[in-house]
Amino acid sequence: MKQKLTFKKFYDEYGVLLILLVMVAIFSFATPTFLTGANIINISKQVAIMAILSVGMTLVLVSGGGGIELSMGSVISLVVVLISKFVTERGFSVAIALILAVLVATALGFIDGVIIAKIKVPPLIMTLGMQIFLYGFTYSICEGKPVYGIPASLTWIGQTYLFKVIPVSALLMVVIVILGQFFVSKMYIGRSLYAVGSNEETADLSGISSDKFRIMAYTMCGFLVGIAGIVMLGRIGSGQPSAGEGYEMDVLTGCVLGGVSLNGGKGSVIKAFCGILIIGVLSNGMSLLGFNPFMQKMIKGLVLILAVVIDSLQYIKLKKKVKVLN
Amino acid sequence: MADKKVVLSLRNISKQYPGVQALDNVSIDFMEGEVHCLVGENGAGKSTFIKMISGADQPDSGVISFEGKEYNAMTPKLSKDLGIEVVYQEFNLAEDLTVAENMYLGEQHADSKLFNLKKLKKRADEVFKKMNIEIDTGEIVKYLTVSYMQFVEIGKALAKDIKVLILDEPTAPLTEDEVDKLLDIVMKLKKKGYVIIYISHRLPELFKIGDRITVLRDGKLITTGPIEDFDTPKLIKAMVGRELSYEYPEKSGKVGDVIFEAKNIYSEKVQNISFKVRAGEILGIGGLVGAGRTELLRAIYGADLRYAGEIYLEGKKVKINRPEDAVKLGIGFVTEDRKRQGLLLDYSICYNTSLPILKRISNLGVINKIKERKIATKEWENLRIKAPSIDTKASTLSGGNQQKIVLAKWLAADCKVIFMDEPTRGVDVGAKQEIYKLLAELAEAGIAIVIVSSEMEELLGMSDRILILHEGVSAGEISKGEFSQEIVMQYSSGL
Repeated sequence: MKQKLTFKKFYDEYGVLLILLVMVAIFSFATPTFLTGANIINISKQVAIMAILSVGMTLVLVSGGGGIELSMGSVISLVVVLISKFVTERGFSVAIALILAVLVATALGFIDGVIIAKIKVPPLIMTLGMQIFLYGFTYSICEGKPVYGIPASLTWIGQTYLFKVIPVSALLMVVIVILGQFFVSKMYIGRSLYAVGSNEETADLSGISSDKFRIMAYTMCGFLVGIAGIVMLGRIGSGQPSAGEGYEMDVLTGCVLGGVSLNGGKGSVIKAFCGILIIGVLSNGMSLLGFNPFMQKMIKGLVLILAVVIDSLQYIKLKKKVKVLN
Repeated sequence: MADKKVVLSLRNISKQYPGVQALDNVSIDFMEGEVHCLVGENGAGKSTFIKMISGADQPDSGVISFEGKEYNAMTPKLSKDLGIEVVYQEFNLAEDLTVAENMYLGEQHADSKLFNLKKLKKRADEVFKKMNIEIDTGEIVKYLTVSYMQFVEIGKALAKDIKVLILDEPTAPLTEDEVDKLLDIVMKLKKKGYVIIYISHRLPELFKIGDRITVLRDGKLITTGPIEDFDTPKLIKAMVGRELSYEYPEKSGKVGDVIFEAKNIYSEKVQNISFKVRAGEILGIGGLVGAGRTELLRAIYGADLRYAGEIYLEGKKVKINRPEDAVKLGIGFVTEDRKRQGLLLDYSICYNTSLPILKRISNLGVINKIKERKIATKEWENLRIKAPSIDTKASTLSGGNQQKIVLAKWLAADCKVIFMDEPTRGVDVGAKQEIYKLLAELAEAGIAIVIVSSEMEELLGMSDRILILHEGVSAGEISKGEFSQEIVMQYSSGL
């Protein structure tokens, strides 16, 4: 069988990696501080949270049906504030506080999933509504003020280094990405998610209930957002209600850049991770080069649109021409 | 006839779809002020013919001439510009808008930049007056009855300056009284000089309004002539008179116990249908398109809501609320539209085959890939799927091989009962034969098979028994000894 190497195919296979390498090369030439050990460790810390979130986002995007999760940032804020409150004001033990917070995040994902799958509320609206609600809720329980005074055992995960070089958060990220990739490619639930996202009707008629697996995707995503929230708290060291703001868009951009399709059924955790690295490198490089934050926002917005444009290009078709004979 | 002017004429139109010659050198003239009836069995080429005129699809060869001007093909826009309008079986109305707004949807209001409902209503009223229909054109469409929606569709067509009106099964959703009203309108339009192309499965009404009639079969024009030359038996004969061109595999005819039974199934589209299938038996379900054949299977399978009805598997009553339940019980469903409902096109033969058994072949949630490949390879060989390997993408294969993958899926799942909706649609002749052979083999192996088919020949050739549906109810069951094309057609038409 002849296989033509089209731009689309090439981009599908190696596009993300190529973009990543090109960007690394550009920034390395542009600024000497970019390709240093300290900066690489810095980037790995910066992308850890996004990468953990990207695993959850990938599950949701792959499950199709317009799947998207826009309440990630707000759930992180809630988790950060909840844990801080539990520990400093309620006197909960750290372990209990962490478990409770992750449970809350998981439950929120489950609620999203049920309403989206069973009642057919568009995921975009559902999770956007959830985001608005949760920011309101989070700010009201902490009265808009950060919660200080959390114990060192909570910051351990965000601020400690293994062998004095590898950040614990980066290690956790690597473990979750590898597990995530194993999950989507080797496990029954993962494969079923692709089936559902690729063709809901076929999946349903083959006994793979699209509703059930979509709910699972949102629930697992919620769980991962909870974990990301714990890492976030560890990094910033206080219960900031604004901690997660804007994260979902960066994560989404990274996933789509990595070839996870907004139309479902396509993408991998590893490639989404590469997409996240692109975002991480881009942010870091722009900061090093002294781009101001507004400029950075503009560029990130353009990158998101570009990624979606490439994703959408395959759906455009051409038509046959018609002419008058006489 | 000579005094009438030919408005629209199609010459030597041919159109091929993968695996089927949908139209084969068909030439028809349509004259001013005539009702031209187009009849034929399922798949005779009527819809394709309409598509050529409306521009929804383009012919491979042939010429379409309209008022003396010749075209190689139509486009939807060109067809509309020339004054050809099609009223389809499915309504195409903006249900939340008023009747008047629907009539002039998409039209530019040159006289005023503002939207003026009053003016629209006045124009719409005039159209309906001509049709002799009383209707409040300010009413929201979704509150109308089905028949009035149909009238609005026709009114919408007439509101434009048209010359040719195509009515595709216009009476299908109507009751007797409403049918008469519609026929009345058609007669009136005919007198006004419109060309009316009228497609209907309800033969009696053709004799009431038709001037000429054309019978299509297998994409070929069989006969065309004034309505006076036909009567019902003659028409049925022309429609079904196809030769049995295939060899159908011989079966030993040994059947076992009843494996599957559906009792008194009701859904939105079917009423009170019951049937039994024995091990090794092939039950055919016949009927015209829209008779509720697919819907019956879907309702049983749990894919559509079932209002009432009981299902028995090997004598035991079972609960099937969703397809998941059916799959667990060992019932497979090879759907009509394999691309949309049967396959994951972007995935390999292997992945598609293992779909219903993913859970079964997993340990602690991890798919046992060795087992998966073994099963997929077995079915790939078993069904003689022509592909380089089980890792070949489903989308790269031909229709027949794709259909085999869908079948492989259910064989991998060890199904005892397999539903097949149009098992050979869009499949070429060679692959067709092979699928027939496979089906016979499966039946011999003791699987109970239910086939829905629009191809009379296939239905008669493959089935041991045939259940025929007409407008959602059972029109009768015939056993092998009584099989004939005429009887099937007669039952299907509700005669």
